[in-house]
Amino acid sequence: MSWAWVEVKPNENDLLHPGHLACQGCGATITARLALKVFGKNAVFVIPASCWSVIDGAWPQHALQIPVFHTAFETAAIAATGIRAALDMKGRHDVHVVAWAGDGGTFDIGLQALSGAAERNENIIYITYDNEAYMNTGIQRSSSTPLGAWTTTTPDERPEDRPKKNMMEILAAHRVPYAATASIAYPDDFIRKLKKATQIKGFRFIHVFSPCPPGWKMASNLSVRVARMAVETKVFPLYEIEDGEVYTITHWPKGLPVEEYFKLQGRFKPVLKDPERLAYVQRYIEAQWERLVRLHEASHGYLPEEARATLRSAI
Amino acid sequence: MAKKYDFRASELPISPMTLTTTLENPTGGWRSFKPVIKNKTAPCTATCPTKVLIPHFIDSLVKGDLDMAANLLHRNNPFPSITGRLCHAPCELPCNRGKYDEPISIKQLERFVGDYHLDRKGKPPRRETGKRVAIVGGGLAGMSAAYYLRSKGHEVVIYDRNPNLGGYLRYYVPEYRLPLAVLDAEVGALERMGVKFVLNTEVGKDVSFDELKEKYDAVILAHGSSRPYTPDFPGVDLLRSGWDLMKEVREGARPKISGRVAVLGNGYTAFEVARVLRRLGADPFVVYPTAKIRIPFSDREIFTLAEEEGVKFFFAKVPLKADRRNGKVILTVAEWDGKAVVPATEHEMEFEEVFLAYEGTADHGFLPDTIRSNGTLKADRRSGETPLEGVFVAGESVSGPSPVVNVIYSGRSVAAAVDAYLRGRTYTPENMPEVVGYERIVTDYFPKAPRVPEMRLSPTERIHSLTREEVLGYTQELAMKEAERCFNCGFCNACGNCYVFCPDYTIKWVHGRPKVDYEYCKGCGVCSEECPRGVIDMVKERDF
Repeated sequence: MSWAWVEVKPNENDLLHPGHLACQGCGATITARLALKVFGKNAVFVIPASCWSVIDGAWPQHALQIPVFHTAFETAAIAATGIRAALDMKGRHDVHVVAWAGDGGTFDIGLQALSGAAERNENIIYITYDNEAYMNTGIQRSSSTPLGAWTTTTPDERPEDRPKKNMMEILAAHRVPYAATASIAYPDDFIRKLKKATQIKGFRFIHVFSPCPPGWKMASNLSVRVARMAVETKVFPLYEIEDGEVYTITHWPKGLPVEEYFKLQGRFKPVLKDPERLAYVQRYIEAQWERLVRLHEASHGYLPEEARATLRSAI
Repeated sequence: MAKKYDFRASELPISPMTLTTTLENPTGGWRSFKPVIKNKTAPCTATCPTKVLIPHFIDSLVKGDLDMAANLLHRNNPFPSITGRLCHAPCELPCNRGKYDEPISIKQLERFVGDYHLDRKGKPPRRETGKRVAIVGGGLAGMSAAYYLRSKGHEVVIYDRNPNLGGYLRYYVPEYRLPLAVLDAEVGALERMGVKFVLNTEVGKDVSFDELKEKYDAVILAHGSSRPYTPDFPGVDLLRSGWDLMKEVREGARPKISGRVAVLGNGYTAFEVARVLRRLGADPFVVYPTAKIRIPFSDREIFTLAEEEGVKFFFAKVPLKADRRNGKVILTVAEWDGKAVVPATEHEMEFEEVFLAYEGTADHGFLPDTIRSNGTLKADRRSGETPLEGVFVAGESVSGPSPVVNVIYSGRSVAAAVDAYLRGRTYTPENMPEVVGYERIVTDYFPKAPRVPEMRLSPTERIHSLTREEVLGYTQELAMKEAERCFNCGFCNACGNCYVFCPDYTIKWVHGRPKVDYEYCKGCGVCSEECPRGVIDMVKERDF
């Protein structure tokens, strides 16, 4: 893993003021801080109902030092489209319009607006900070909740039995110019993807893994470590899709067993207690990873040396 | 406290707009634990007898600031070129990187920085204190004490009975281990600093101890353990002195010795004499009083080198008698169980020559009885204070034969005690903050990389030369490569992880260093968890 300093410049574009209302160790605020480091002052955030509409502060306070438009839950993409059109009319082509939604506003409620904007290839950047449930309203299951996780609506007796919705595949099916996953634990990778996104015209989608210490039942100091383990256990691979066709894995994980990731969090306690279910989850993750690696291979024609060690079939 | 807003309806904007930032919420009140950025001690520094600031100088080396690296290194070790060649490197044993892949080659990095700085060092102090200190003996302890006292601004005069400084290192340690040029450069640096030398002058013979005590504000006795110990058994006068052999060879003589020869000894000198004999063409056997596993760690390296070169060993054996028959020496040896001779194990061995190479003992003959007791000195081991006011003891004269780095530390700590005495302060030994263990290192940030091997001549190359240095130093490129492996345990090298990962932007970047803004810090602990080198601690602030 390379150093954070590779891409991050100290004291440049620190546009998130302290005193915001996020919980201790919030991954979503790290996501916003890093994103603003790339966008600078030249950005408008469109925030639907989500954690971030709370984090930004109660009126008349405001943590982000850029214009923010708070909007209804299902309208992040379409509101951003409207602001884009208005700015284009005014000739402000240099401003990035960023739809900044949580996983609920992206995977469930905002999906049709998102699909419409993606299909029309609107010139906006859509960033979803994914904490894998409706954390703001009290940890209810969303379609982003992963296999085996506890939430208040999927209690310990009956943990989540459906896998996480594969949002990247949905976006790829829209043939958008750029879609990528990123993690707060790999700031250089995240910032590189953001920089790449700012240079592309059209609909750009970035899916950022942002741990939520209260919702995931873990200590607040673990949020970055958990995000790192999610990548290293292949639970959340870092990759990008260009034009819906070209898959590129940007970080080759160590391929640790999934327990390493699960044992840091309280929400996976029912899975950890049930070896059969754990084996099933592991098999599912391996299959998903193998599929992704084959897509990478199909896109590029070869696999790098580090890929072999991560494949179960190679072991 | 948050400001109160009081608007009349007509003043309100048409749509709700923010007017101020969240800086009005001092979220520091949410906190139960607070992060404290505090440099700690690395295990290498904690183990080093003279507490060299190892992570600090390696960090400067990584950043390419060789002069800064040299300054940090010289803060606690005045002669890194010497320790980089002769030190037994206890620092590399507890290295946290050793638990991950391989320990850092600290000794070689020290040597690289020391050699880089060798011709640059030796600046006179900025201010003179006007106090005068005499040092008896210009060996390593005396040189080390002189370096630190002179850099504090005292006038330092070294008395030595030999024509040049360096003691054992100059007259006995062979050229292939420590080139004379390195020692000359170190002595030259002392000279440039303004240390005065009174050479060819033996205290007690040419000048009396009382005279020194009268003329100087403080006297440091660093006469070392320079008298070779001679055991007492019948026929010991038939044997030759290994010390004299080393001295001859160091001066350039190449005596012809061949065939089976024995070396009697109990430490470094015995191994070194055997290696010199091997290079002269003989077939040496070392008769060593303890078992192989009981060789102290400080002699392990030289033992391995000797073994590689074909020196043979008789372990756990002591000589009882020597005799000369038909031009050969017949040595009677017996098993030694650590306390006494094992009965009925005596047997004879035949050698061409037998060399005595026992470690030296101290000669305190010139000193008054008030500070002597039973052949040792009454002195504090750390500060070197003796019952006589203004008289201090440093180095092997009080500790007995010791590794070079311990001798350097003795000189340094006694210099600190003398400095305190001359300024009328009380000497407080330095204490080390908490040591960083392996569990505090976040190894995910460090890719695995093998240790850069030191370039050492092969045994066959080694035994053909008495002058060619046996270990070659790193080049700058290799030194950088090796330095980059260092975890810098407990030393904040401004990697920026805490700043990047702070969810609240309460860790600010001020003058290239992190600084916590406690007014807003919510105490989540991400910085502490993500600090790769365990610098940030979470300190409990209140009960909850």
